[in-house]
Amino acid sequence: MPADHLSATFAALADPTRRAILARLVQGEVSVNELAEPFEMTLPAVSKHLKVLEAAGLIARGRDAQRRPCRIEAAPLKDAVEWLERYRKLWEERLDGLGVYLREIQRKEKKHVRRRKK
Amino acid sequence: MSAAAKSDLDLVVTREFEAPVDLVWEAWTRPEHLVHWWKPKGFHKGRIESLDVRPGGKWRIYMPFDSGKGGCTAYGIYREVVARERLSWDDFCDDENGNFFHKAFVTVSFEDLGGRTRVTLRARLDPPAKRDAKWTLPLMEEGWTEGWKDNLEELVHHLSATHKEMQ
Repeated sequence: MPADHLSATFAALADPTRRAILARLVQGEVSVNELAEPFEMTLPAVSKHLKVLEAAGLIARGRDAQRRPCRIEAAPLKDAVEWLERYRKLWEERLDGLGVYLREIQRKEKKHVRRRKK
Repeated sequence: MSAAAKSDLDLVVTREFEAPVDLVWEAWTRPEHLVHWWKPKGFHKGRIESLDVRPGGKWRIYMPFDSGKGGCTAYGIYREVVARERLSWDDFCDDENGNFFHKAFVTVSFEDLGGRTRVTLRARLDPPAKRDAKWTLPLMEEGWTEGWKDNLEELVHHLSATHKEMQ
């Protein structure tokens, strides 16, 4: 997994408009015109964002010259999410281990105390 | 710390343990305890190379893979050490071949609940940058579903939050 690939994903996601565009695309393929509407942006401004998203591999554009429909590309986003989830899991597993360990040593301690009392 | 760093966009994990805060604190700060639980799944019991628990002190733990082939090293520097209250450190992980797995800043808070202890872990991840040529995505388990799409908005916010904090 090349680092460039992921850093491009994070850079593209740093902008709130681009995140909103992605959130819109989750619902399905749309044209540039349709995308521009809710954002109150000019078409060139939207196109600029789309270029960044496309370069990061987060979206793909259709061939229809008139509409140039956009759709979301799952793979890079999935990689970024997996990277974060992996780290969360590492901590979940460590803390599970800590819980087990704390139970164990307290049980041992109790046994030890009982034995001494006898 | 910036306002964003304290937001719920950080990775936050909270647990309550049936153990007094003194013991839980020791479990995080004494090598004879830490060595037993520090390893995540897929790893053997680690080898603690250093654990200098004071601000600016270094820590370094080698974690061998269960498979017996190689392992990776977790290491960093302690930043804040407030006994039985708070511990923070830089958190890095790499392997023998110089592959990077993560960079993060971790803060753990301990809360005395009278015989029980609440532990809250916050981590701010540092996304890989172009300079990290050897940065690698650890192997993923099978079974990743398409379900993530349902939470896309949340996810993209989550992802970009870690990015913004770096800038």
